[in-house]
Formats: sequence, structure tokens, C-alpha cells
Amino acid sequence: MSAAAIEATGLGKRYRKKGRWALRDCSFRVPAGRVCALVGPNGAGKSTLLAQAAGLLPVSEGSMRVLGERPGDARDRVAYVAQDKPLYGQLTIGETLRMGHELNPGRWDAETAERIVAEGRLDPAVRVRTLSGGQRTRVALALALGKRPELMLLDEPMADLDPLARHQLMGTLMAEAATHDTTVVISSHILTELEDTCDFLLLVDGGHIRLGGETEDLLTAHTLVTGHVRDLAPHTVVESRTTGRQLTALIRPEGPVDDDWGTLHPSLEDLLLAHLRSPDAPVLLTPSAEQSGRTAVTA
Amino acid sequence: MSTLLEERPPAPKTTAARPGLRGPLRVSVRQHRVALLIGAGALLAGVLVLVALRIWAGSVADDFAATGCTLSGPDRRECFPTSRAFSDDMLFFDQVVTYGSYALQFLPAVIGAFVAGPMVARELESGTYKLAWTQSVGPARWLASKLLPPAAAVLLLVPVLTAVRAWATSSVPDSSPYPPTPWYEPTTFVSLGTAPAAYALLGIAAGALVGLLVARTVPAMSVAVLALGGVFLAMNQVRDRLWPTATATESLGGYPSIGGSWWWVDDGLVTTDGDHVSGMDCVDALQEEPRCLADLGAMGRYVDHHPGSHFWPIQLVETGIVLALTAACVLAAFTVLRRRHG
Repeated sequence: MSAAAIEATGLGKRYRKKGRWALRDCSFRVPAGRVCALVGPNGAGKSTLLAQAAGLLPVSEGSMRVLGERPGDARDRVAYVAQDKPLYGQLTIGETLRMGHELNPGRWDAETAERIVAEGRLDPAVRVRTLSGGQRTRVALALALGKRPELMLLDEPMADLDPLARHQLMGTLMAEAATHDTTVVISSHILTELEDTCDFLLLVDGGHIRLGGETEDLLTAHTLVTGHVRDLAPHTVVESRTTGRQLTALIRPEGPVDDDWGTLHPSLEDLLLAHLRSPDAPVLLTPSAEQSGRTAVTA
Repeated sequence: MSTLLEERPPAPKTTAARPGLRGPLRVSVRQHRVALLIGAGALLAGVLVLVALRIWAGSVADDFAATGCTLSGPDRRECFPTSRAFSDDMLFFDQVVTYGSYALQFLPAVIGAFVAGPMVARELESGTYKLAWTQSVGPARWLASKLLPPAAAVLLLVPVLTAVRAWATSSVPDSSPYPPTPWYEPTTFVSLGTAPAAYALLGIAAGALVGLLVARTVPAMSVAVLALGGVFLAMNQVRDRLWPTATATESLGGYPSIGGSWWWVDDGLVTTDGDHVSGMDCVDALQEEPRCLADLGAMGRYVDHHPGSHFWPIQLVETGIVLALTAACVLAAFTVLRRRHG
């Protein structure tokens, strides 16, 4: 089993004592080297999870290891871009990159950072305050990539970008990640943004991990079936709908599916929507996403 | 402290190293350079204005002495305009020094409000802390880099300003009709000696703690000002107890002779048992005074006071207390940062 970029055991977070749990009982694992989509509806706990991994939020219960260390201790090897792309408005782009150099001694890759800025035709002398949303995102990504991280945590990085800028920046990001074998975790509530680029998936909903694993494995673990209404046992039913006497269901087959069912391979979107519509569907973690108690103890 | 300065990265592929500050300190100074420059400039301007005024006041006094006139001398008609002009100039000088002391007294609150609001709370409020704390150097170094530049400015400039302010009044021309306010007046006491620098450092430390706890710019500034004002008021209340008072006694016939620089703390009667009865002088009971005194068994009067020589002991004790508070605030700020933010 490859090393884990993130490993969580019974992870929970609430912002106030006796407050609502933003995350609860989260046990999962993101192997190193993957590009992981962290998806879920608004308010599911995606940002909380990423901020915890970035070492910004203390863990309320359970534990989390990032690159084998306590989240805060791995700070120098992790880059984090928060949802609102915080940057110092009074600094110029050049000064912002200079800051990256000063705050990441020994790691900073000025060439990469400057290239990413230059690709956006941004003038280093311009103040960050005057940048558009897409330009800000580019500078924030340049700052994150200039750190040469082993793990990148990106919270809805493309949310306020037009499709062209999104495509460009995603391309830059993926090229950098592939070159340096960086693990990337990108959160989004828009799946289509991530579908083509991610090979690993975590579905968070209501503070719980619902699905986790290689995208391929998750897809093959599910089948869309249609046929006359009848019992689907022994298969696990995620969601089923009946129209007249016609039944459509997303199942996790437990053994061969009867021939008289019409079967289809679900798309990733089918899979996610079915799980979000059925909060009671059992959790599914593929082996690579399963947190192994043994590693947590020896780590 | 040295770790903040020694971050000279070995990575070769970086922009050409310029001399000067490195690492988070450099970033912090760059972020707040306007405010730091304005603050340091204001302190420096204060020093220059006081020096210039003191020199001017000295020359005015010398010129007046050369005319042969005195303010209290026999009335000479031709002296009146000169005396009047001299008196006005001395009043102006006295007022500037007084306002200067007020400014020194408010300096800690101003510094505290700046550190609490724009420096610390604004980062939490606007979310830029998420950027700052996820760089390799981490939150503790971030906080240290917020505290050090203003602390350095305070330690460099406030003692100079305090010394100049002390010199300006200690050598007020003797002929001035406006003698300096006594050393024990609250506004005077905290603008002399080691107290101003200590309070200014407390302003930085308390500001950082308040900024972290309140985490919103404007409320943090208000809380910092209130907290520092509270410390001032509390210290004013206890200052006369920071050092044991001296006691002067005199038998019933007269009153203890009072030194010019005495800080009068308490007075009353001494009984035959040797007890001191505070606040009792039997003067109100005019006709009854002998009886009143006899009833109490009074045999003398006493005055508890701090002579001028107690200035430094009290200054140093107060400075120690304020520095201890400063250390506690710094410790608390780093603890809060670690507890709340991992």
C-alpha cells in the first residue's frame, strides 16, 4: 500500500462547544500521488476538512495525519488555497511572490511562480487589490505552486472563473502536479469541473464521508438497473425510483445481476446525485481509501 | 529572536538577495511600513520639537535676565511689557510640555490599538491569516514578526523622547512663573523615567492578545484602548503603595515641615501609645481642640509621604509590574494562537 497523503481516524470538528458538528466520524485515506476530488453540497464540511489538513483548525476529536505528521507540522510541505483566495491587497504581485520566497525559505521555486504569473499576462508591478477574480486565483496558485508542495489543498479554486480561465488554470495545475508528482485535493460542489482531471474521489455530505476511493473503482462498484418492479436482493440498493411498473435503481451488485435487468454503467454524476438524494445509503470506501488502523498506530 | 533573522535560504534559484531584513520580519515590515514610518516619524518629530522648544525657552529666559527685570521684583513700569512677554512665552512652553506628557501617556493606547486592529485582528477578519499561517514559517513566527518591529521602534525611540522630555522640564528656567508639574502627578509620572517604554511595550503585547481574542478590527481597537486605560487607572490607584512611605512626625505644638517635592500620602495624629490615627486633626472642633486631642491621647502629628528620592524606586517597581504584565500578555497570545489554531 502506498504512503498516505491524508489519513483521518474518527475525525470530528465542531466550532463551538456543544455546537453543531461540522464533521463527524470521518475515517478515510487519500493515497499519495492522486488527484482527489472532494465533492459534496454546500455546507457539507469540505472547507472544514481542508482547513484541518492545512493545520489552520484544531481537531475536536479523532486524529488526522498529513504526510505522516500532525497537520500543522507538515506545513512546509503542504500548500493551501482558501476559498476566498486571501492575498494582501496592498502588495504588488511581485511583492507577493517575494513574500512566498521569504516565508518558505529553502523551498521557494521563483521560476515556477513567476512563469505561472507570466502565463496570465500579469504585470508583477500591479497591486493585488486591483486584480479580477481569475487573476487573483492565478496569483494564489502561483504562490501555492512556488512552494513546491508535496500536497496541495485547494478549496473551490475555480469557483469564480470563466470557463476559459478555468480550463487554462486547471491545465497549469495538473501539469505542475504531474511533473512533481504532487498529491492534489480539490474541493468543489460542481462535479463537472473535476470529472476529467481527478482519479480519486471523496464524497462528503452532512459532515460524513459517504464515498471514497479510486474513481474507476467506485464506478465499477455500481450499476444502474432498469426493469419490472421487484425485489433487488441481495444487491445493495443506493437509490431506487419507480415509474408505473418500471423500476430504475442504482445498486452495488453483490454477485451477478439477473439477465432480465437492463444494466448501464452510471456516470460519476449519476453516482453522486443518487447518494446525495439517499442519505441512508451505506458508506462505501474502496480499499485504497480505507483508513488502516495499523498504519495509524505505527505512524 | 535570532531564528527570525537567520533565514537566509540556501536555494539558489531565487531573486537576488537584497541586504536587510529576511523572512517573516521583512514581510511584516513591508505590510505595515506606512504605519511604522508614521509612528516612528511622529516620535522623532516629538523629540525634535521638544529639543527646539527647550533651547528657545532657555534663550528667552537668558534674554529676559539680561534686561535686568524680574517678575517679582519692585514694580518698574518699563519692565511690564518685557515681563508680560516672558511670562507668555513660559506659559506656551509649559503647555507644550504638558501636551507632550499627555501624548506620551496616550502612546501605549495608540500603539495597542494599532497592533490589535490593523496588525492582528484585520488578518483574522479578512482571512489573510489563512495565507500567512500556511506558509512554511507558521503562525508562531507570524506573531513574533508582528511584535518585533513595533517593539524595536519603541525601544529605540521612546527612551529618547522620555529623556528629552525629562530634560526639558528638569531644567525649566528657574525664573519661569510656571514650574513643572510635580513628579507624582499621574500624567507626569508615566511620562518620565522607564515607565513610558514599559507601557508602550505593554501596548504592543496587550494589543496582540486582544487582536487574537477579538478578531475584528474596530472592536479589537476599542477593547485594546479600554484595557490599557484600565491598567493606567489601576496603577494610578496603587502607585503610592508601590514603595513604603516615609513618615515625618512633629510634637503637638507645630506641623511637620513639608519638603517641596513630597508626595503627601496620609496624615493624622500620633497617640501616646504610638498609634497613628489617620485623617484626624481635631481642627474642625475649633473650640474643643485641646479636649479633642486629649480624648484621643494625641501627642503629635505625622505625615506619610514619598520624598522626591522615592521617584526611582516607585518607577522601577511600576516598570517591573508593567513588564511582567507584558510578558504575561505575550505568553497568553502565543498560547491562544496555538490552542485555537492548531
